[in-house]
Amino acid sequence: MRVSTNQLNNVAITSIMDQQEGLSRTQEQLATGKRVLSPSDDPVAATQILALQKNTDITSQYQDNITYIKNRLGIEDELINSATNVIQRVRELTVQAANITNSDKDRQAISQEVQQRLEELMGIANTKDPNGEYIFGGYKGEIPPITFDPVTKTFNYRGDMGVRDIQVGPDYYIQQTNNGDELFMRVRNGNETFVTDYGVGNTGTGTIDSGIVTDPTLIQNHTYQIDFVAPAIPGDPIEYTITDMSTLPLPTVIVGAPPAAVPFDVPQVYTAGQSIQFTDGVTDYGIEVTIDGDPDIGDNFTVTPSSSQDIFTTMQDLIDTLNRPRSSAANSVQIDMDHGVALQELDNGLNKMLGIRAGLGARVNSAESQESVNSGYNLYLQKNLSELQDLDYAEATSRLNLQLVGMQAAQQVYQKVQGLTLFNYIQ
Amino acid sequence: MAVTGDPLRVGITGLLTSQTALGIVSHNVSNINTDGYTRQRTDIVNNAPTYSGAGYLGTGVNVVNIRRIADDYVNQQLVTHTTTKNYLQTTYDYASELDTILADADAGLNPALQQFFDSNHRVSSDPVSLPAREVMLTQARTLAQRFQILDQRMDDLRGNINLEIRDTITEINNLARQIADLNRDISTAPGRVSGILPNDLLDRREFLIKELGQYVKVQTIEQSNGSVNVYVGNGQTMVNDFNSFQMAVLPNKYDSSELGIGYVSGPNTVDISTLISGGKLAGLLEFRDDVLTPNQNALGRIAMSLEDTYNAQHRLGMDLNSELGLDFFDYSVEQPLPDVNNTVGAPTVTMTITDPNLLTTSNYVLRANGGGTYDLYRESDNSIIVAGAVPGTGIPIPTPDGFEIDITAGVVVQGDSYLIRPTRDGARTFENLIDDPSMIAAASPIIVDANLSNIGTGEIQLASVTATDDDPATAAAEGQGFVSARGGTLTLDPPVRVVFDPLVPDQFTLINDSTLAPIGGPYVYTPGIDIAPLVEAALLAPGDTLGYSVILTGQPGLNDTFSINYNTQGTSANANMLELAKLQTSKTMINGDTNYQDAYGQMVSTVGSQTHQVDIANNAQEVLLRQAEGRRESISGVNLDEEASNMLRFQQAYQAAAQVISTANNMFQTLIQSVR
Repeated sequence: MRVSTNQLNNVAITSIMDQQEGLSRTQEQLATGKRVLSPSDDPVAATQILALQKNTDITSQYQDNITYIKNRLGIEDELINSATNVIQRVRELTVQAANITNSDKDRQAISQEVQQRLEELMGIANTKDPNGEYIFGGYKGEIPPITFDPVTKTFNYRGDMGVRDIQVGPDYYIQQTNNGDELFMRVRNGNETFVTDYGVGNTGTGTIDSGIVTDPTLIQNHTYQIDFVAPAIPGDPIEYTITDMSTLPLPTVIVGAPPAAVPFDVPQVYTAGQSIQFTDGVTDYGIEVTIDGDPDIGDNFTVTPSSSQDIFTTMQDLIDTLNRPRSSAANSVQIDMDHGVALQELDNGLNKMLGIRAGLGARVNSAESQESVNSGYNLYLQKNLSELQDLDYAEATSRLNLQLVGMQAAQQVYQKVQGLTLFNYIQ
Repeated sequence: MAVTGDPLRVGITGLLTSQTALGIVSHNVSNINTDGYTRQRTDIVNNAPTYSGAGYLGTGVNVVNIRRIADDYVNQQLVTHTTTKNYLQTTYDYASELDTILADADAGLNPALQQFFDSNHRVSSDPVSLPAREVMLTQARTLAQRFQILDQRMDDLRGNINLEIRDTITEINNLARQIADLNRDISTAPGRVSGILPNDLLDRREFLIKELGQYVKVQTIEQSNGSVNVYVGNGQTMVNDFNSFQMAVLPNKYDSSELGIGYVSGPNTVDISTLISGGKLAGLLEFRDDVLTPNQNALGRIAMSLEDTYNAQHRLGMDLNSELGLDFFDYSVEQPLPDVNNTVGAPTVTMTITDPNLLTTSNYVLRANGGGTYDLYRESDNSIIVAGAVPGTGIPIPTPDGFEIDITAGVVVQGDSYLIRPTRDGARTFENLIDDPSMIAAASPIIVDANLSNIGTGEIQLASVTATDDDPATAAAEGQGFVSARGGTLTLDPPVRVVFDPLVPDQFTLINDSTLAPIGGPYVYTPGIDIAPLVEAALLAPGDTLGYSVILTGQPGLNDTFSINYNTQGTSANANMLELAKLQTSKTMINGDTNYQDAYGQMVSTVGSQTHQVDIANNAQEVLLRQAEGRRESISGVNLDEEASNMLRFQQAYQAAAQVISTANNMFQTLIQSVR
């Protein structure tokens, strides 16, 4: 084929320029360490890179959230731990105060420590986090959650039941906060099903224990009263009746009244220390209590459904009990009974807190296990991302060498061809 | 002519011929670097002999023609390939620029979206923290700016395209004029009739046609008078004999900021934008209409979907001031653009977005047909999506593509039309409305509570908030549960208390938690019962809702009570922020197929693969063009070595002829001296 002089030049120049283009690309790849410089280099990979990048970013955000939740749960755990220590100490003091050898003065001294502990516990309940948010206020993070009203002598929770979740994985949320309502306020009193108590005007030394639930399915959540009555034949042992106070329009006497066909149609003979079943022989109420000591005629005891009583009120009641002098035998057994109730309710509070703390620990565990899931996933994403976008340096350097050789060749060719013309020889 | 074999005369013809030939050689050598130059050759023919008794005597030599060595087919191929190459190169240049804009690791949309949603998570972990909220607002502003900047850069491309269209058309008109002038020169050149052509003028014309071919695809037809007629589009004459015609920049009939191509025909300028193919001009138009516009629309669609879904969720929340959330973002839509040629008194058309989830990236044309009917034409797939009789004013026409149009009173005349670009302004006008960090609605507006003295194990929980309305006027009309005047105290209407019967287990009534007025009941309790429908059935008109759902579970005891109230002062709550953050990965776009970031990813990958395809085609075309250039060079290009050898050849011939003359002179001298 005929070749024009310009064509020779063009071929040489074009090939040099092609080599330059390749070289500059390789150079840019080596400089950035990236294989795909713009989406058009490899559209399929570019789309995947974007998606992987997005997932990596989102996962990193979950990891940040986990760090945050672990910090927060750490603070809460620390506070709940302090709160349980306070309650433990109050429990010890209660046990100590229950000892009959304590004088009224000793008991007053103990009550002062309980008072301090109560204030300490309120301080814990009203702790703020570093951002000024009340930790145990539920959603109402800007109001101190626990307040004491000195007039009515009541403790009020001004927060709410709100809890906050944090997202730690796709569709995976972990509860970040606990509120004061569940921690301090919603502690069941009594044996957590019902509460036993003595009548205010009791004159005898009869005591009632906290009772047991014989069959939870039979519990009706009614209020019952056990009344001690004079025996039918004077001189016989004292007798008792049981009345369901919650039936309308009138209370129903379960034990100690007709109809005659059932065994419990008359008041039952009281034997100290013997357990008393709540049954009229037909209907079982699932409750069993034990009454001991010597109740007087006219004394009564009540069994009411358990409800929530905050731990502060429990402690305040304890303080009141400790400040009451043992003025009579009847009064003394009542104080003992109140100590027993306080102990039981402190235990209920402790158990509640331990349960919450266990849940909190479980949440930390979940967060940590999700953290390792996330970091594993992130590693996997990084690996894929790297495979898609990162440069194979070995391949790129050898390519660079080849291109340099090619470039040199092209330049040499140009130099040789360019000098060649017949005119050189015509002088 | 020469008499009987006169060596002097014969020699002179040789001398002159070689001189001419050498002249052509030097012309070739001189023009070696001239664009479009075609090498020339001297056609040398021996002269007619004269008869003598001894036979025919030669009378020397003569140049009959100076010829271009050209192949019309090859030249035409070169023009065709140049046209295609320029078309692809222009498309590639613009596409790769868009590619770079969209995929920029720092300036693209994805990093801004990511950072915005990251800041959402930070607020959700710490809702009362003002710094976290400030960061979120900053990120929201950055996001809005990013949408605007990306849109601006696309608009800059549009501006460039307009400039290039203007320049190109000026250039095309100049070239047409020059070609027409050359036609005249060539056609009237002496000797053309006897086949003697003005080679250098032909070169020039050929070169200009190739130049014209860079800009637009041309067809050329050579006339018997030597002129070449040049046509573009589907037969629009640019050059006819000695006359040239003009193209003109023609603003789009709907949007004058968008330039099209017009053809000046007498007093009228006809729009030939759609007829243009090939060359830079077609590259510009096609990139703009087929790549830039859908992508700018797609960006707008992401902004609009984000605004829609984010606002809807934000309005379901409650802010630090215990107020309901307001709209977080905003955009405005471009209203339909009427054709400038619409009849006077044509209706005004308005457009409203109804569901951003259904939006496409296409533009639409609303056309008035005869008899008071219309149709709505979707440009992306050239289909009519809605058609019918024009309804009265105020009766919107719904479309399946997420918007509705309203044709207000006016005379519907066949041929009138409107351009509708539902998503065009989405990104440009996207802005952040919330400036006060306390107005970020992170909390859920409802708080539920179980009475402390409850004896049962019943639990109450807020299942969802689906609608809020803090405008008292409409709240009453819609029967929704939230009532407030902004700035006043918000309440639930009604606040609800669930009261379990003191005697009958599993039975409850509902009362107003504040006035204690009865709402309804008794109802039978089953675990998992939703309270809201009971209130709705008791108080609201059928179909109205409270806008939330509250579930009771567990075993409530006798006398237990639960309450549902407005979440006043619930500043530590984050339920709504969790929902907002979740929008990042929720499939809220394109019929529920994708999320914002993936939608953007799709844009990037579409532009990426379009660029990639054009790049491949462009490289292939480069090779074809080089081959075509090579073929032309091979035929018409000057080879210096060849010229050198020709030069030597003619130099020697010249020397020989001169020698002959000298010899003839000697012969004459000899004769003179012998006579003396």
